[in-house]
Amino acid sequence: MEDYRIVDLYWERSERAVYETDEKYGRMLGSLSFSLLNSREDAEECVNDTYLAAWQRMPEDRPVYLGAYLSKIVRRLSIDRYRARHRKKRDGGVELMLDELAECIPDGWGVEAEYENGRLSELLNRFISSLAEEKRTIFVLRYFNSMSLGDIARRLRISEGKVKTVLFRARCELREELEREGLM
Amino acid sequence: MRNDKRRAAEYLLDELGLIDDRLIAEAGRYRREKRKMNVRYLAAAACLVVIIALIQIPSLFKVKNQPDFSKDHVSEFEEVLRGAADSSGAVILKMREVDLFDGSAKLIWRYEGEDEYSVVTISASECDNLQRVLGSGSPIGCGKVEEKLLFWISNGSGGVITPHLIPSVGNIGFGELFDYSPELEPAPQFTQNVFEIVNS
Repeated sequence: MEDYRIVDLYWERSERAVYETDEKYGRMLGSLSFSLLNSREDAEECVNDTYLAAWQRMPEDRPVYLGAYLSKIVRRLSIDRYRARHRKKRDGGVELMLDELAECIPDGWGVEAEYENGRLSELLNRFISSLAEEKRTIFVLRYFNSMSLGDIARRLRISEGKVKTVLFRARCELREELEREGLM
Repeated sequence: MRNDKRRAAEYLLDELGLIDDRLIAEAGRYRREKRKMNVRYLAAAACLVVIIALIQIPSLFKVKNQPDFSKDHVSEFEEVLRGAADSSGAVILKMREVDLFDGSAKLIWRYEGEDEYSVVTISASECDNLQRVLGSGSPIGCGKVEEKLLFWISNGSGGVITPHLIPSVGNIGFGELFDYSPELEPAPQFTQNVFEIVNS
């Protein structure tokens, strides 16, 4: 079913909306959550919470890209759950991503101010949009979808080494961009 | 990692969750295209093909062996899987019982129209090997659509590979297993590998 028709079901408060959402995006959302939480039970709960959140937010919201809209919700819920359950013990996919993203942080970066005034969000959109298509895809699949290097490599039919190299260069470019924008 | 860098990385991780929906959708749809050949090279290759064809004209009129599209034809690959089912090497499960996330790689198949799946547990190394040898195969006829064999490889971590060769993140129990591609005859090496696994 097309995204706009599923969104219409939400606006009509039809219970079929959740069924159709699950049919179309259930596996994608579950996989995204699982890659962050490494727990099937937690992933299932986050996906169910995502459906509830979507039900509560629509109407008012009318997303164009429903998959992306739902992905953002489940990602947020999964990361929050991860943080709540792993305050002391640090393991899993989130930690790896944090280690990688730390490489992008210039020394002495005054991050809080830029985070709060929305400049960081604007810069990230601009930076990601400026990347070549394949590099952009790899960057988003890694740091938004939380896919492993191996899964990205298989999906795009390239070597894992190439994925690693592309991500490393992208992180360097992001760091340069942050420094150039004076976000310090 | 120092605390300030970690905090900054956390902010960055959060902000990456708010990027434009269009970027997320495009990444989800992206598939690597085959490289576009230079037109000149393409023309040269076409000329070479024509020359070779002209030289080989007499052999073009020989009758080639056609694939057997009759309803009774059973591919070698199907024979291998039937052998697994007959020898009790496979477990028969309903869809909801098939666990794609239990850490165990599996071969999974069923015939279209049936609601039971045959499942054989394989090792992680066998799963990796199958992915490596999963060749391009060749299309088979549509004469036996009603007996279409559907086949998947699960890596035990939610990844599901279908013989249309593109691995996907697959379903984790919220609906049907990943959609199947048009009919494909697996490459001989792949069939051989599956035979060795189910008969080990």
